[in-house]
Amino acid sequence: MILIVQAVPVISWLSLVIFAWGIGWKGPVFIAFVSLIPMALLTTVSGVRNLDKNLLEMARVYKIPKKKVLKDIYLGSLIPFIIAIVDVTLGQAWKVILVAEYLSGNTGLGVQILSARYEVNVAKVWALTLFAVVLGFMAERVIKKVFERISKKWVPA
Amino acid sequence: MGAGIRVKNLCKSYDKLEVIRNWSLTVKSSERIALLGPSGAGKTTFLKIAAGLEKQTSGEIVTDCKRIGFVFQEPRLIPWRSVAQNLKFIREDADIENILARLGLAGFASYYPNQLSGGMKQRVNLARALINEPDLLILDEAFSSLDLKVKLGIVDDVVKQWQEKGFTILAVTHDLKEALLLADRIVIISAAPSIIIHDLKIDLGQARDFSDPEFIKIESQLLKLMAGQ
Repeated sequence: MILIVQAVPVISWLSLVIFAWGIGWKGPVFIAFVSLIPMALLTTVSGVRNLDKNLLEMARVYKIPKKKVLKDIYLGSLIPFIIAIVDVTLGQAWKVILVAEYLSGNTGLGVQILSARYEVNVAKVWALTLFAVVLGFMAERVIKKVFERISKKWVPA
Repeated sequence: MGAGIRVKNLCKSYDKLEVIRNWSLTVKSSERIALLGPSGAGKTTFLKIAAGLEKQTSGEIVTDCKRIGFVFQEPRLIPWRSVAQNLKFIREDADIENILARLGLAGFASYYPNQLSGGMKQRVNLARALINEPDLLILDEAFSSLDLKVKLGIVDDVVKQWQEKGFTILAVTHDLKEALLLADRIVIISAAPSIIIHDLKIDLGQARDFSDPEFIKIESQLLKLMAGQ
């Protein structure tokens, strides 16, 4: 199922979204979600598969409650995978959202770039692109910093 | 008080591979038993059955054990947790400083596993088992990767804890010296499908020294027995 979702072209999603909801904010959000969720899920699954079975066996011997095992073993093992997911999807999400706005949005940077194109205003396109790059870069840095702080609890010194 | 274990006609197979054949064994409370035998003879499998991690194919194993301490061959410490957190993972109310001091790890509570030597990690593995206040301590080739000096130190720690707490010890080892330093009884098993071929009482008293002539005599007798399997 995940592989099928992953194989559907963004253009097809765009068309379907416009048919379903028309032009608006829902389309870009939905497209960003369906474009990135398969990769996030597949990476998480491979993280769970790579889990150290010896640690789980140790927890079984000592009859550790499930909740504690989830928090201390599963989450800790998945942190490197979650960091990788955030790393890759953050950059991509930004670009996917701009394209989706460009084609099916009624507001946002993508729509601004589209209107600049209609006005044949090359300078405005460049300015908006620069703005998008700076905004994307800043958002990526801020989210990564927050994430590093949260995940610090699971990473050895 | 230690746990008692009664094993009757225990068999274990993995598909068509028969590993354990008809083991019968009674372990009394606070007894110290070492299992010796070739690789692949089902020693670790037996420990896992005793710990409830695996089921036997047939036969029975009955125990009054309430709490187990399992010292694994590899330390199995959670890498992203400090020594103290690894111990608290087993028991929140554990007196960590006390157990670490008793095992020569005072001051290492905040260290992470990757900052410790192999011997120290095994001591934490032992501390984790002891902090559970076990009535059965299982040692699965727990000290095989350590050098002789470190190994002797840890075996000495185990014996001291046993004298204090009186838990039952079930140990698997390849090292005859380690078995003789640790156990009151040595069970020798054959290659798979394994059977118990010798069940010997070891009369060496409490304080043991492997340079003691009596120790050397028993060791050579056992070596001959094992060579003649």
